[in-house]
Amino acid sequence: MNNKIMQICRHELASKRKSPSLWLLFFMIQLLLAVALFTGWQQYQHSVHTQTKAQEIVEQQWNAQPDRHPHRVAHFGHFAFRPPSALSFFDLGVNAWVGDSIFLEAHKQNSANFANDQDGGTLLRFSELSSANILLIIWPLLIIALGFASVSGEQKSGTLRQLMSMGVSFRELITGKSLSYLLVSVMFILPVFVLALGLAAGTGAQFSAEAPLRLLLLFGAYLLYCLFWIAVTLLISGLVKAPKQALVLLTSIWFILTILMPRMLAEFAHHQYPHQKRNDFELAIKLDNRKVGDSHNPDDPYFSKFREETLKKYGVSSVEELPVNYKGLVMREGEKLNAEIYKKHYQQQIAQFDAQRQFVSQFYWLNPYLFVRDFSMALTRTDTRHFLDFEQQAEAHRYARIQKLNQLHTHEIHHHDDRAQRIDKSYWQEFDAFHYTLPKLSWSLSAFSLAWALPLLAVIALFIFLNSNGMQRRIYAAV
Amino acid sequence: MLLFKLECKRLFAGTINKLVLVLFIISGVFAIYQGALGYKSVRIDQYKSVVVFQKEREHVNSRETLPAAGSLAYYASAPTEWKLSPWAALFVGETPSSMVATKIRATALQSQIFNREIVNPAQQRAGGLDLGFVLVYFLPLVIGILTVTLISDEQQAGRWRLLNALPNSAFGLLAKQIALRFMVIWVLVVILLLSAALILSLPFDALFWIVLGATSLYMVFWFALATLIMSFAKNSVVNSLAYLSSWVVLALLIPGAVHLYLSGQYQSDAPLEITLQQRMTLNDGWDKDKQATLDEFLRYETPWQNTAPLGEAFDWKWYYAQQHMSDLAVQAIVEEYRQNNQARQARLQSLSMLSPALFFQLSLNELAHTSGGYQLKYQQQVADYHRAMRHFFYDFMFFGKPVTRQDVEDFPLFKAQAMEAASGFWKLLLSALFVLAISALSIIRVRQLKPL
Repeated sequence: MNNKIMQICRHELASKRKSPSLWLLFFMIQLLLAVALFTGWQQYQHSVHTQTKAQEIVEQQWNAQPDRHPHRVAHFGHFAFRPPSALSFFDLGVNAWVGDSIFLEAHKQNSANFANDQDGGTLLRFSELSSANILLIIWPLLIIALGFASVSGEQKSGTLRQLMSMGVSFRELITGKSLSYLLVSVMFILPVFVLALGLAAGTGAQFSAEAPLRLLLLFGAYLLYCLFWIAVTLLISGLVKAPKQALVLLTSIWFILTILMPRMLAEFAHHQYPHQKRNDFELAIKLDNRKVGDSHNPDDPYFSKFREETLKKYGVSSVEELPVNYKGLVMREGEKLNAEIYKKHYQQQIAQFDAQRQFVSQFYWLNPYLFVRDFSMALTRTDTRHFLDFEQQAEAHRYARIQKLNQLHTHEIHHHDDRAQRIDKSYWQEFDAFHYTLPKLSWSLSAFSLAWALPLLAVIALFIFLNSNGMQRRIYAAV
Repeated sequence: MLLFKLECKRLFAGTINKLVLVLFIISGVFAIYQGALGYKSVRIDQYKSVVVFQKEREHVNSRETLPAAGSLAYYASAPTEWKLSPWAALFVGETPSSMVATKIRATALQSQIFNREIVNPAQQRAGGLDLGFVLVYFLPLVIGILTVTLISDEQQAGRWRLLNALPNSAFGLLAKQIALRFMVIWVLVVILLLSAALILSLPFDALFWIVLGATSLYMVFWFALATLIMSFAKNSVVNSLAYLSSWVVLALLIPGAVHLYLSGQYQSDAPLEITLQQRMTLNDGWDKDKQATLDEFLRYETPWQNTAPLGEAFDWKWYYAQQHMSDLAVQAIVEEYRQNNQARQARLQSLSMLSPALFFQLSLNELAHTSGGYQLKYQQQVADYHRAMRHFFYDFMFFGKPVTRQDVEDFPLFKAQAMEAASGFWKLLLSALFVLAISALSIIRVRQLKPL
């Protein structure tokens, strides 16, 4: 590498090393990151403990049931718990706003309950104090503080002229400074990642070969984010003559990109692609269910037709003559219809959520904050998609479990005096426990496809512009 | 007057100053617009719930034979309403993520009360932009950008020494400059509040003046802080960084830390425990002696003591008795959880004194009845209503009273009780004293500032 670049880089680092206030700030941020990581880790362990224990309890409760009628068991139901993802201690993502447990019962799809967003409207205006959030919001301010005067300051103090006379080219100056800020950034974010890797390794079962890869990608994403802010800082510092003006402008840009724009886009997307509120959603499902038919009503047109078809299929003339329990068949059919209706409405909701997400993702190139925030949540499995994936896995599990019970109802219970019968408790042992299957890395990132390329190109473009002749002329003209 | 014109010119000359003011207006207007839409959807949700219930009631009454009281109670999902002030459009608080119109029926309460609103969590993660956000978090930055470098700019321009030599002291000039900035920002805030009031047809009652007064006070605090920072006579860059750091600490770090502390200290798995335990009680109830359950129930609900004993067939009264018993079985945890929540609220109130931003945000949410505390009050009202509703049905189920069409009409509807207003006045007075102290301190310090 060019010797002069290294010299400039070393010089820049040396000059920053002398500033006690920067040291103080750095120290504070490290402390903050450590505290965030530690509390995130505690929270993670607490929820792993709670969820695993609760899942064990409900599995035990299920297996310990006495002889029962299968439909009673269907109403007894089951629970699905969402284990926190292994890296959620680094980035809590949307965890505060989504529930951790779903009650799985017959005829009804419940949503996840018990979120941890108490007083969120007062305390979570900037989301939690997680490591990811600190790197996303506070770290750029430090880069700004480091570099807002790097070009304009040299201009003002006249050192730029000296450097030029020493034969340092503009490109070497910019590259050297960028390099020094990048080194500082790496020095500061690396400990968190190393610590996170150590903690992730301690998660035991959840730790897989994927975890280091995910962390590596996370590190890459945050490094890209640092580079973006370094480029913006140097650019503004070069374009605005007074260091004070550069600082104010950079702060305004920081405010717009990390605070104002994400909020405006999210609100706008919500009104552009609205999803249904709970009451509307449940009402729509209820009305649709009513339209299709009532499995409990013997004169219902849909189920009369179903009866005729069933009788024809088995070649008998009355339900009593059927070799299987007709009531079980009706339950199965009812559950199927009900699940289809729910799925239709649920998919509509998901489509709206996805439209909102895609709307925001259109701005990744303009505002890398959005990209890194979403990318980080995807890598740590804490974004909306991963949560919805849990809900869908739970619903699939619910459906399979209830239909298996309806199968028992159909074959093991006689039609005559249906309600009074019970089946042996050994049947309950044949049900599989609920296990949340963690999505693979490829699935986690599938929503991005090539979206990552745009912010990367944006950063490259910024650096190209920074090194352009036009920029050089502009700066030199001011010397 | 000439000086005033000159100062105005100086204030609006900087591109960044103009940019920041324009941005402030844009986000304010955007927030009011979004707030109006959000509030409208909240009101529609509440109104629609009432209409839907009315329709169901008409439907029931149009049937030839009325269903049995037990079956009627099973399907009667009655609407409730979190009574919000129209200011909830501007200070949304907890309303976007919680139910504002929970439907409730006479079955076990604890399995209904934890229902959540459907939200896109990504939107919540972004943080939301209501007028409260603009006033609490954006406003201080506007104040800082326009103010915090006033003295240092004069110093750097070399005018400070000159000004100090004039008979009208530099302090007087500085006071005028600050007053001008205060007025400009204040007028913008008033315009925002006025247009919000007009759009949302908010009444110009005491609440309006309290909001305006509190906002003005909050502005004075940040102006005082800026002056205090200036009084250390450092250069513009140091002043800007110091002000920005104060903002990060007060607006971002303290609320974040308070959240971490509260979630650690008041962490509770009670909702989960309640749900798991209630489900077991409800299910075991089917295998237990039904008469025993009913007798137990009657010990708590004495007015229905003289009901007939259970027969062989399924009886709704046993069903509702055991539903209620399952609520009582978890009563201890519910009570503990309620106390935990109250303690949490009280602690939040006291910790909010740590940061004016947090304090102001919490106060605004309380004025609009959207804070966590009011959410708990609403839930309490739902619980009270649930009891009234149960008792309404008990007469029919326990005394075999036939349900008439008139009874269906007489079914008690939820009436939101007026929530007692928080003691806004005292809060305002105390914060006024605090802001006064800070202002006095900064004025004294600036007066002592010697020309360099």
